[in-house]
Amino acid sequence: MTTRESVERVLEGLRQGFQADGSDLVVEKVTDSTLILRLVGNDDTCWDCIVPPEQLKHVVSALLRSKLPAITHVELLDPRDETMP
Amino acid sequence: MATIITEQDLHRQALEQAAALGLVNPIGIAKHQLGAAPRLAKLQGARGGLLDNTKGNAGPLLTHVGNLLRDRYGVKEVSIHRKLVYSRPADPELLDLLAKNYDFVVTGVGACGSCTSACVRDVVDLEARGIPTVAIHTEVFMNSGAAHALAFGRGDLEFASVRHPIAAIQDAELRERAEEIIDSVARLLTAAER
Repeated sequence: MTTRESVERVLEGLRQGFQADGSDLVVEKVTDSTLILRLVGNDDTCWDCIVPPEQLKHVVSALLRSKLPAITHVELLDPRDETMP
Repeated sequence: MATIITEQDLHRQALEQAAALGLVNPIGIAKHQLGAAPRLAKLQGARGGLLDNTKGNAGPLLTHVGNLLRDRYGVKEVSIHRKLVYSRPADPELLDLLAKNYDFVVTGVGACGSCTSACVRDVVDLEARGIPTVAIHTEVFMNSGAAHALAFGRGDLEFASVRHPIAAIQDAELRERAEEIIDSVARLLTAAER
């Protein structure tokens, strides 16, 4: 299993919830130690239903730390963050 | 390439390494982490607080759960309280009141990302006050609840899972869902079955 597949497996359960809120959490890029995630949504997304960016990053990082300790850096691209590229 | 390592894997590896060296591991796995409230010996005669997070149909579902706890498990009384906003943790004053007046709390419903997160936060904060607390989440948010519990330092927390959705269903269906989860709620509040 590749690192990307391992990450996607760990995030699979979490994504269920995002999808129920009309959004998704997709893997943008992954290396052996770094993960870049993108929160995606549209006009139908319940944005109030999604935790704030910093908290979301904290939760995802904690989850990955427990399951995939090799991933030491998590970056989240969140459309609610004005500095997002 | 990465491997998924669970806590059980790490524990098993440690035991295997210790056994190979002829060592006996004096450290067991704590059944409950720091901050966990002691479970009740029994529900009979207990007073329960229901914390409605104001998400659609949370109050009616909790009311059914409370009634079933009273009728089937001999809970003495249940009272419902509402927090202001589903997406944020309850005010500390409300948590203090619940901790002071009840033997246990049932809260819910985690039926979206932010309300699940806030529910888990409320459980953690109530348990830190010594009150055994159970959160109800809809099934699609159970993983989210577990991830939040882990992030809040309570990876041991268990939740009651109710069928999704609950917001747009009739009272008879809510009652049915309450029936489906009532034994799980009772089990999570008491010591005997954990």
